[in-house]
Amino acid sequence: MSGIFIAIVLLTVLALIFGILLGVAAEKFKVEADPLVDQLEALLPQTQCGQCGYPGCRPYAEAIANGEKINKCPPGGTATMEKLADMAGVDPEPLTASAEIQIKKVAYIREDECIGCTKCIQACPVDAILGAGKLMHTVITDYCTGCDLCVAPCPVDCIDMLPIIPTVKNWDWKLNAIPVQMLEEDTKC
Amino acid sequence: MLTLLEQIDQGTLWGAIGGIHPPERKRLSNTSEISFLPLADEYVLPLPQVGDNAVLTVTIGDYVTKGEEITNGEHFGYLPVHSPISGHVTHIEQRPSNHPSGLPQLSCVIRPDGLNTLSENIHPKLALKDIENLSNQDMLGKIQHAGIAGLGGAAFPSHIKLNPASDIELLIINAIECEPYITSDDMIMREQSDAIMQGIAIIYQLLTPKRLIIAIEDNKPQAIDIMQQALSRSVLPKEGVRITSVPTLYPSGGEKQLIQIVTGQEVPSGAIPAQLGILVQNVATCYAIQDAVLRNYPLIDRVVTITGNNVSKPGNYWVPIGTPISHLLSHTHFTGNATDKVIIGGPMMGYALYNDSAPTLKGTNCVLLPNETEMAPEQKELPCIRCGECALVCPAQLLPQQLFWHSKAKEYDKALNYNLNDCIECGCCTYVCPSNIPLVEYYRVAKSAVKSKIEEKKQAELAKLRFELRIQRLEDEKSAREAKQKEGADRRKTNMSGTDQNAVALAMARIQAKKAVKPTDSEATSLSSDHKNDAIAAAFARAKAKKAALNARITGSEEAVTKDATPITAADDRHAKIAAAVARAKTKKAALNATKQISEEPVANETTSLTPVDNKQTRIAATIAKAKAKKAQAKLDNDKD
Repeated sequence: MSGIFIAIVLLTVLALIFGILLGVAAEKFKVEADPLVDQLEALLPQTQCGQCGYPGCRPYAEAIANGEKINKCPPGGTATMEKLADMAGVDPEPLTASAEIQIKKVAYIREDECIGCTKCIQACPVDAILGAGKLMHTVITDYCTGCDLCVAPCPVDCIDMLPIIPTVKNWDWKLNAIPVQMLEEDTKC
Repeated sequence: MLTLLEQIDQGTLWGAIGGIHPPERKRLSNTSEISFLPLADEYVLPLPQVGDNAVLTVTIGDYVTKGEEITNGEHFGYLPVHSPISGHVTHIEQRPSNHPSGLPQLSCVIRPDGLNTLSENIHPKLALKDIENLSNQDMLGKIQHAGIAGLGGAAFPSHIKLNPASDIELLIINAIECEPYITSDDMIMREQSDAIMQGIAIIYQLLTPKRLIIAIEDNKPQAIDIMQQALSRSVLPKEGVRITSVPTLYPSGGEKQLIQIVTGQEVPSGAIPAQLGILVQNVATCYAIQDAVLRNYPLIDRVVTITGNNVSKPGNYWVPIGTPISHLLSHTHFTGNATDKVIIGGPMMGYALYNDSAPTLKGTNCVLLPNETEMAPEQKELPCIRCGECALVCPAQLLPQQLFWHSKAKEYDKALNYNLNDCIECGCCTYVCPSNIPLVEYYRVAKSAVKSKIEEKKQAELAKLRFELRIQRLEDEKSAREAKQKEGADRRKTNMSGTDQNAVALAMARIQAKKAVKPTDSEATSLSSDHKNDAIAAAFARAKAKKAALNARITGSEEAVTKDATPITAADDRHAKIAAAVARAKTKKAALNATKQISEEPVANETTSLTPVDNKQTRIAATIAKAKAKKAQAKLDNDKD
């Protein structure tokens, strides 16, 4: 009979010790930021387009961590949605917006039509438009995320979203093999 | 136990890993001397050849001499582009590139004048002893200004390679040329052995290595003989310099593979040979370096092997860099039809050209024109049977079947874990695959996907940073504005004199009193609204008067047209432009409204029919504006007459 008591007392004491240890560790090594938000944000495409209804990618990541749906990011496409679902531990859902084939686009201003109203500059989330009041504006295409936010405010409709032109540098290899047949007549080396 | 250097002195060779023995087909092109081709109609120089930051210094119509630098650049990896011929610049435009994609690239097109006037920088050849006093930096400068890039195919700038951070113990001259069909290095060794030795001596002087090995594959016995004789005539020291004959095996000419064979050492993944104290330089590059240092002659031509059963004159040719491939084909009597493949490089590592008007580049060592007996018909790709043949022949000791698996499934992270980036794309695995799987193509696709993914990640990081900076900036601006406002308000408060303050207090009291009276007196409110109406009417009247005055001024200025023409047209033009802009804005609004209406009541046909009308109206307005501008112009012209 006493054996059971000893066991119970011993286990209780052990549980207490480890409980205190864990409690102290949790206090001492506390992580300030929510690591889940950072991980979710790393998955988002950082276009800062606001199509999810949040002002930027970080706020949307925070919202997902608080239970928002994971299917509100059209620039990321289905692939990003699946990764988000995986990370947040929820089931994948079809995207809210129509999932068109994602071709990367950047904004171009038709410069002789620009009236210099600075409205697009205010709309750009990444400060990729250069210009001043009553002077022509232009897009720094290297910084443009293709978020579309500058197109709507333009009063004279002089902003085009154009697909990025493939160059020798950013071209993707395609499968086009060169088949060469074995030749028997020649001496083998 | 012998040290590594002693073993090298004895000529010890270590076995190669993997490799295959494809048919050589070298005799097609190595039986005749290197010859010249007649001038082409034009030479096409793609502008960013090596290094990106180059600025073109010539314009259309300019005359350039042979060997003249036509670009300027600052970047340390920058290599200038030289005109390969004397003549006039005729076009600067997008031309098809010599690249597997065939995408157009900005190119400078030069039409030769046939005189071959040499640039004044090029001087008669000096002897080696004349350049003994040249510092290393001067020599590297000469090499950079001659635009010398590795001629083995990768086209890496030589002035960077020859200026390594660590000491070089072993210099290997790569004269292996293991790829089937290609004989350009073989032929240049047979014909220019002394010049090559001078080039090697220059590199020797630059690097002062402990040992120098000239590695030649044993299927080139003539070249080995000739090089041996040239070596004994040369100024190179007799000790520690040797020509090593390497057993023929593909791909022993790969940099890391050659080091493995000659020294038994393995270059670690992601490292360069210089970290082991080894430097490998291609033999044709040595010839170009000799030309650059002794004559100031830039890299503007190279030996190109043109071979295959589809040409009746296969052989090696001195080809100016920038010569259109089509010119090479017509002068070597291309017998194939338009659909036959033109391959740049050898059969193992080359790529098919899309457009034969593309130019030759510094790395173009071979143009292969196989006919249908040499080309296998397109064979169907069969499933991988996991036979493991590819792993046996892989010279980089990778697991090609695993790489294939993950590349095909687009699991690039896993492929990277299997060291995808160490693949040298030699094509051995494709060659032995019994299922006809184009393995290397899968790796190339995977590699470019990985590259673009990294690029995307970088872009996302940049966008995030810029977004955060913008938020920060907006907040800063806001707080600065608030602080300024507060400061202004405070200042006004302190500046107020006592009487002012009293006045303010009195006014406040009056307002309070009024407010207290207001709700009870309805008449007063109607009266105040009457007041308001009066005020509005007055404002309207003022605005009208202003407008009239403006109109008067405009008519006045129109009267002045006869006297001074230009400013008015400019103003009219501007008016028209503004009108057009307004019209565009209106159309946009109308379209927006229309779409809104449509979405609200999708059945109503009238709204849909309205949009075009609206559109039409705005367009009419724009046209009228334009017509007015035109009329004014016509009037002006008339008045002038």
